[in-house]
Amino acid sequence: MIRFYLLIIIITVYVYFSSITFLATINVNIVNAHVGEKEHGEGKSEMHAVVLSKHKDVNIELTADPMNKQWRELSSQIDIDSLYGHKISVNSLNNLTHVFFLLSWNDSTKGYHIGALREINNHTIYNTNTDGAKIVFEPHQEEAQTTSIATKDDVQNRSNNIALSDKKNNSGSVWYWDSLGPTSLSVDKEGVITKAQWKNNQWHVIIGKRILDGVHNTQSNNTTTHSLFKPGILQKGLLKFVVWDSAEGESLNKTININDNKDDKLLQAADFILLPTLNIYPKDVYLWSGILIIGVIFFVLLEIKLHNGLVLSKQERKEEDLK
Amino acid sequence: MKWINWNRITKITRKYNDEDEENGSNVEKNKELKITQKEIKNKEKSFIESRLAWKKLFDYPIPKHANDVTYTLGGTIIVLGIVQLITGVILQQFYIPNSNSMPGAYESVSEIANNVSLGFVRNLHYWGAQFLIIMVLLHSARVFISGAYKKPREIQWLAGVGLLVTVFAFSYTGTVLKWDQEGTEALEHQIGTAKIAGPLGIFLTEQFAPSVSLLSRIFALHVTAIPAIAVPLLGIHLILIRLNGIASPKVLDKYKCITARVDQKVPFSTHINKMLINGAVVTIIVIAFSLIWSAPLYFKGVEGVEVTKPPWFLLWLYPLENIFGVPAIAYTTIFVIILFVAVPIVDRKEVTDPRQRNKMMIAMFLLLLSFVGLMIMGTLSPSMQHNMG
Repeated sequence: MIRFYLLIIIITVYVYFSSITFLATINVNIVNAHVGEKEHGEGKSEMHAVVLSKHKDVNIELTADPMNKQWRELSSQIDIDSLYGHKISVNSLNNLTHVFFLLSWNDSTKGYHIGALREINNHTIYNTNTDGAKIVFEPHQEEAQTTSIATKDDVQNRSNNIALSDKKNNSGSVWYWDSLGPTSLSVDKEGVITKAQWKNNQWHVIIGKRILDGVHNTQSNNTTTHSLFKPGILQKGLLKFVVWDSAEGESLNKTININDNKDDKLLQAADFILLPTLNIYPKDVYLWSGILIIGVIFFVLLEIKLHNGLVLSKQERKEEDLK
Repeated sequence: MKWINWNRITKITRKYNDEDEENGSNVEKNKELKITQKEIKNKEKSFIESRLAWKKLFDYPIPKHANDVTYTLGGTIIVLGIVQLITGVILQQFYIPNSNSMPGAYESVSEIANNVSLGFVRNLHYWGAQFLIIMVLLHSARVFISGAYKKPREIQWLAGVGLLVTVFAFSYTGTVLKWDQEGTEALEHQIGTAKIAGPLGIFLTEQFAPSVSLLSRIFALHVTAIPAIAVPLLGIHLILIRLNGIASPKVLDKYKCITARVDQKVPFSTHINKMLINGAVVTIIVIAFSLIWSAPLYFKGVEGVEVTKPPWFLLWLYPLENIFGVPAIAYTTIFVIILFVAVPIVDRKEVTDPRQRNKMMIAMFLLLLSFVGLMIMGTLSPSMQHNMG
């Protein structure tokens, strides 16, 4: 009888694998005949790199050191090609009130500052060229996902209030830093917060801004205030990053109208997503682990108790042996 | 089958009533009357019994220790399973199992979550699943510790292992169905793992039927295929419990002989009562959790992005994935299932006392500590982007 059942099991397994292999070989042509045509006909949409701005619960440290724990462990780094052949490493963090980007790129010279002397063809000239970086935000309304976030209520409320305070239309925004200004922490009149560090032939620059509107703006009509930063919504092609190295003859002037002319195609756009907090119940692992460990210990003790009447203690064993 | 002779009973009753009026009460007559009434009751009982075999099913004797709270976890699991079934059927009415449509899966779950009544049902379904998993793990641990997988209960244990796998499959597919960032990442991991599994995993990849949303197929698994596996396994598990009875402690005595505990017997119906009471208590806790804490729902999933971590019951795989990559998920899962299946094959001695099964106990604690340790590691480690191949 057992042999009969074994035979049936072996036949079933054989038929199963044979049919799967057969289906895999023909790639289910009948079912999927029209799918291939659809794919060829429509073509694939343009793929962008995705910049993730991860959420940090507490205050974000304003350090431009990429080896700092918050950038190394919390943030996701992505490399983006930019103008002049620069490759920019981009990290981003947010706490739902501020968003910061850490840009790092190779630059063998620290750059020049206004008033610095530079000799060209035996003429000493004042140099005003600077190294610098800018982040261009260009919203693409038609491509952005329109679904609203449905996490916790407080996230929902905060997301509704997040907007660029200086933007009243859909024209986007530019956040800018150059080596003309101080490398220490500074805030310009647009509210852009910057901090820079030149180390090991690399620039590391933090550029950030407050993204949560104040009470006044929250009460204003949100429909006229363009919200660039909606937590949890992928915004396609929102970001462009530009850096320049004055020592290589690169300058801001060449990049200023970069989005208005044909050079736009040279600039790689990146998708952007501002992530809200991801661990809704981060401590539940400890709860379930605790229940499991306590439960197992309790079961062991109970089983020992159940078996106790059957097992002789050492004293009882001795007494039994003496008898 | 004998029919009750109502004419006879009526005649006897009338006769005694008339005699009572004439001669007063009589002990002999009363006895006969009582016997007759008992006969009626017995006949009525047998009417139900003959059709449902109620007594045979539920009134057989079981050892008294089976009514300890730890031995009623199986019943609690069934109660939670019923809660899951009811809440699942309700949620199913409002869920759109399609990732490509608008509104689609995520939008429908958002609607459910934002609706007060349906949101509560969803919370119940979520917390019910969490408690179901922990109860199944605890039940498995209890069966292991009490050695209830030993001869003649090996098939019972194997059916239980199958049920454990189906509970994890339910929970995993349920995570995907939310179609938020966590669900999207879970599905991407599934595709990555299915590729490793080769022909066995082809059903779980988009290539198998690209014209149908993979999410729709996962939904079909969640509501049809996995229950279709779980229900027969549960049937086998329960029938074998009925046939083999509840395991009793056995020790190796000083004469190297197996001594079994002969416990006081109680009817199985008392065990059912205990299981229902414990199940109700756990259900009340689940309701309390559902009222206090909402089931998580992140933002709509972005494909190709990995920022979340697995839910706690799969989090033990996360550090392994960080170190060894996606194949670690497939290989470790298979390894753990093999370990569970091997238990009754490896430990074949009759003795059930934990103190006389040191090796098995050490193995269990090592597995438990690894499981918990890896989960905590997964919690503490930063989230990582993995290559899905």
